[in-house]
Amino acid sequence: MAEIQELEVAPKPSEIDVQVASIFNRKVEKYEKGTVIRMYQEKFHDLCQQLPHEEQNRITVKLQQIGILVRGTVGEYGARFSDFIRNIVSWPMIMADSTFPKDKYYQMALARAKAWTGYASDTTKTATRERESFKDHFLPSVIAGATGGAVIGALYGGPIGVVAGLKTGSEIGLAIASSTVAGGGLGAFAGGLRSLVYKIQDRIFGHPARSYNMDASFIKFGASMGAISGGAQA
Amino acid sequence: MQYPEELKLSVRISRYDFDMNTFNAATKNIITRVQLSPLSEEEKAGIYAELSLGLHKLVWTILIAHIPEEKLKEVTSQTKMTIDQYADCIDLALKNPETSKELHDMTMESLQEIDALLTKKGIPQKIAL
Repeated sequence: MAEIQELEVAPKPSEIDVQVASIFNRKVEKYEKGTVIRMYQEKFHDLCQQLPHEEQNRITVKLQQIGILVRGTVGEYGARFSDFIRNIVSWPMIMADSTFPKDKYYQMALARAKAWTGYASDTTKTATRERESFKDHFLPSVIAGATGGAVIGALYGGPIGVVAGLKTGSEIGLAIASSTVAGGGLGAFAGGLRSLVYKIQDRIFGHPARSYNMDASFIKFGASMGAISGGAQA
Repeated sequence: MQYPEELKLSVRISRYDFDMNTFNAATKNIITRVQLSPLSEEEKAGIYAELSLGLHKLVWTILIAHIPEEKLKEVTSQTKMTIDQYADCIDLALKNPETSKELHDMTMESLQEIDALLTKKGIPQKIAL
C-alpha cells in the first residue's frame, strides 16, 4: 500500500521525455538480445561504482593510458565523440579518485550515475527522484547560474534588441540604422544560443575531457613527481 | 598549470568548431531545435537528461558486449575489481576493431531517431543564424 502511494506522488515525466527514453531502451534491448550481456551487466556496473580508493597512484596512470587508447580507437569520429567515450570510461576511476576536483561536472556525473538505476523500467519513487534530480542540471536557471547569467542575458537580450531596433527603425524611417540594430541583435542572439548549446552539450556528454580531466591528472601527476623527487633529494 | 577560464572556453570552442563529424553536428542540431521550440523549460531539460542517460547506457551496453565473456565471468565472480582489471576490460573492449564503428553507428542511429521524433512533434528544423 505504501508503495502504491509513493508511485502516485512521484512526478510524471512528459510524453516527449518518455519517447526519447524509449528510443534508447529499444536500441539497448535489441542489442542485448541473444547475448550474455544481461547476465553480467548489473554486477559489472556495481563493481565499477566501487573501484578501490587505495589504488590512487594507478588511477592517474590508467586515466592517461585510457585517454590515449580512446583517441587511437574512436578518434576518427571526431573530438566530441572521442571526448564523450573517454568521459564514460574514465568515470569509474574518477569516482575512485578521492583527490579529483568535485566541481559542477563531477556533481552532475554523480547525479547521472544515481539516475542510472532508474533508467529502464524502474518507476519506484527513489528512481524517479534521482531522474528528476538529474534533470534539474539542465534547467536554464542552473546552466545560467554557472555562467553568471551571461548566457541567458545574451539569449533573451538579443531578440529584445531585434524587436526594439526594428520598431525604432520603422518609426523614424532609417532603414540602414534599423538593419544595423537588427543585425547586432541577431548576432547577440546567435552568439548566446551557440554558447548555450555548447554548455548543454557539455552537460549531456560530461565534462570536456581535454580541458578538465587531463589538466587535473597532469597537475596531480606533476605534484606526485615533485613530491617523489623532493623526497628523494631530502 | 591553471589556465584562465576564458582561455579554456575559447580553446574548447574552437576545437569543437573544427569538429565537422556528424556526431557533434547531430547533437548540436537537436539541442538547437529543442532550444528554439515552444516546449516548456521542464520538457527541454527532460529531453536533455534522457539524451544523456540514453547515450551513456547505450555506450556501456556496447562496451560490455565487447569484453570477452571469460573476462566478464572472471571479474564479476569477485567482490571487488581492481583498477588494473577495470582498465583491462576497457582495453579489450576498445581494441576489438568492431567496437568503435558500432559505438558510432548505434549512437548516430539514436540521434537520427530523436531528430525524426522532433519533426513528428512539429518542431521545425533549426533556422540558419
